[in-house]
Amino acid sequence: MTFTIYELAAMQPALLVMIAGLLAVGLDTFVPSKTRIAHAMLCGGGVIAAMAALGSQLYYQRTAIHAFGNMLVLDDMACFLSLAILAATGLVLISSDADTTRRNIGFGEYYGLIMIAASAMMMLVASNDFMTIFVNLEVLSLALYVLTGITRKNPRSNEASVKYLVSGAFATCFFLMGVAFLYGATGTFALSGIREALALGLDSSMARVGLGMVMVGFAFKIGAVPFHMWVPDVYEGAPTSTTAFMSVTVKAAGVGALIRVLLIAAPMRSDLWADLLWWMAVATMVVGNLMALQQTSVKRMLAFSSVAHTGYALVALATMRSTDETFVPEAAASALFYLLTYTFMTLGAFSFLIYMGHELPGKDGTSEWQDAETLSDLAGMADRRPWAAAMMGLFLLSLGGIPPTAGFLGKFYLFAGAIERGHVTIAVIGVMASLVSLYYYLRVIVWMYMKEPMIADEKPHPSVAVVIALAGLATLLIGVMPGAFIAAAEHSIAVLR
Amino acid sequence: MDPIFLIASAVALASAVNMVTQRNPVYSAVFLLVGFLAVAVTFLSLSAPFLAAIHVVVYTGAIMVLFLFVIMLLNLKPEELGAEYPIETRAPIAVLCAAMFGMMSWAILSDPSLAIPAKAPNATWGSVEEVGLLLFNVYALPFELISLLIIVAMFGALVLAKKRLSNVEATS
Repeated sequence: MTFTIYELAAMQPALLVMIAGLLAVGLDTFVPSKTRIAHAMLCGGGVIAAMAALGSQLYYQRTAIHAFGNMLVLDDMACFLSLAILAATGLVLISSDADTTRRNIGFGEYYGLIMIAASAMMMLVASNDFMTIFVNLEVLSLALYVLTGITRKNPRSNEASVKYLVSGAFATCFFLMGVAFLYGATGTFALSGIREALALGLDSSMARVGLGMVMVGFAFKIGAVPFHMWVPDVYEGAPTSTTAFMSVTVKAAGVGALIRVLLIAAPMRSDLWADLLWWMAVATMVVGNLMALQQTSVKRMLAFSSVAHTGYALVALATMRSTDETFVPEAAASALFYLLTYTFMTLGAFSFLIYMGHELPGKDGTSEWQDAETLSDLAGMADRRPWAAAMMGLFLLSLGGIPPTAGFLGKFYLFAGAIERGHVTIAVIGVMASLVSLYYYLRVIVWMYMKEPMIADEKPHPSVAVVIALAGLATLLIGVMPGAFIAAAEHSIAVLR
Repeated sequence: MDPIFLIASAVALASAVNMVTQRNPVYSAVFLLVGFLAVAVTFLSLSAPFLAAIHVVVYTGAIMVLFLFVIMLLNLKPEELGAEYPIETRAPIAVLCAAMFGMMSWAILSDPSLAIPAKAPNATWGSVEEVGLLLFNVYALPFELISLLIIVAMFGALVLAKKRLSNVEATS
């Protein structure tokens, strides 16, 4: 088997991001670490170049590029999710400006790790082979373990990092074991090869166990119940810009890879995985929302709400098999669209917590940075920071699914599709769950608008304001003009082969 | 079945059980070492010499040395090991693990096409040459991506463990 240089075109966008990240690491040697202009320009340039490459692939090239013996395929779904991941990465790069300066994190390592994780995610959603899926999953996990623990003086951050590492290693074992079982049953790592083997009747107990374990591995990574235990602790302990980054991009990448595995490797065995996903989606929506109800920390509440939103996205996958037993792969489009809406509203909400941070007097005269976390940190902010608070209100209403925001359309598209395919029960559970979620989202708004301020020394960072504004704009834009985005999501699934 | 395979697997199983039941971490590590070597012998008997060699080099060589270093650095006294978990905690975990093991064994045993073959398909199967050809042809892309994985691992370890030498941290 020989490869040509042209096959690199399939990984060109990811390569651009990866190279920018690796150069950002090296840049520390040449530029004074007081300034971050060089790092920001390099990484921002990488993100924009990769977006341009993806755009040209989508609008001029149009046909999918299958490369390296079909291990990597740059098709419309990979482009769609890569663009969502890149948008989130770009926004996080801007907002991490605040985190790195406030917490004395080196720019090179922070930007570099984020860029490398983003490039691994872009290759993950383009992976068409369990070998590449596994390696990319590991690269992005490893980068995130380090990012979680990067504030080394903060014990909570260290704890979160170790917890993430241990539970992530556990999930990796499941995933790898599942891949080994699938290989044992079918003799190949390629997703299309597995489908052919299953079609030939090589449908052994081993393949079933393998598929189940692979799904457990994915469920861990995207934080679906019952494998969500690590989510609140890790999201709470990590620096908030890292939390924003991983809460949106890992879900996009993980759900994207899961869609590809289900649709390419095991479409004809939807009887095996559809029920499993049904229960997982219901449990994730219910547990995520009920746990979020009890949180007093807004950051922790948003962590549980991200678990709940994983459940909503899984509804689309679970209902791909309609009740009259036909398989409707197009249903996955609503999961893709939901991931896009989720990206901006969650990123915006976490960014608001960074924006509202304040300094706490620490030991030995130094001050320690504290992002807004509790409800009392946000009390009365509508008077002091009316624009930012209004934006936070927008993100929360969008997360709760109130029109005319993106979140409403995402949920509407998701549940309407589920009912269309006959799955009324799960749609009702989903709508009930999002009704429950309104309680804890509105509670934050009530505290912001109806309480007296308790904190007077918040120090908003201008670059985070940019992120909040952009995320708010995107949330409104997708909410008001969803047509193009829904069409792109549907096209991505339609051409998936 | 091959007697070497049977003996090696029995040794591997016995040392694995001993590894988890020993209280002294050094004993555990030594039993793990024996288990690794026994697994390497089973690989040999299944005509996978490259895998056997790599297993010895990486696991018995590198990873065991790492384990022993950590154990020595921590230098835990018996009273620092902490109390055993009560049986109520351990029993459900044991049941869960047994169920997992049972499911996996059932999956393999109930598959008629997976009876362990007595001989390798051909003489060079599993040799260094065959593995190398696969690795640098079919799996060239994942192989190259692993270099990124190693860079991230190395770089992450540096970031988390370095002394506070960078200007940013020193001036804080």
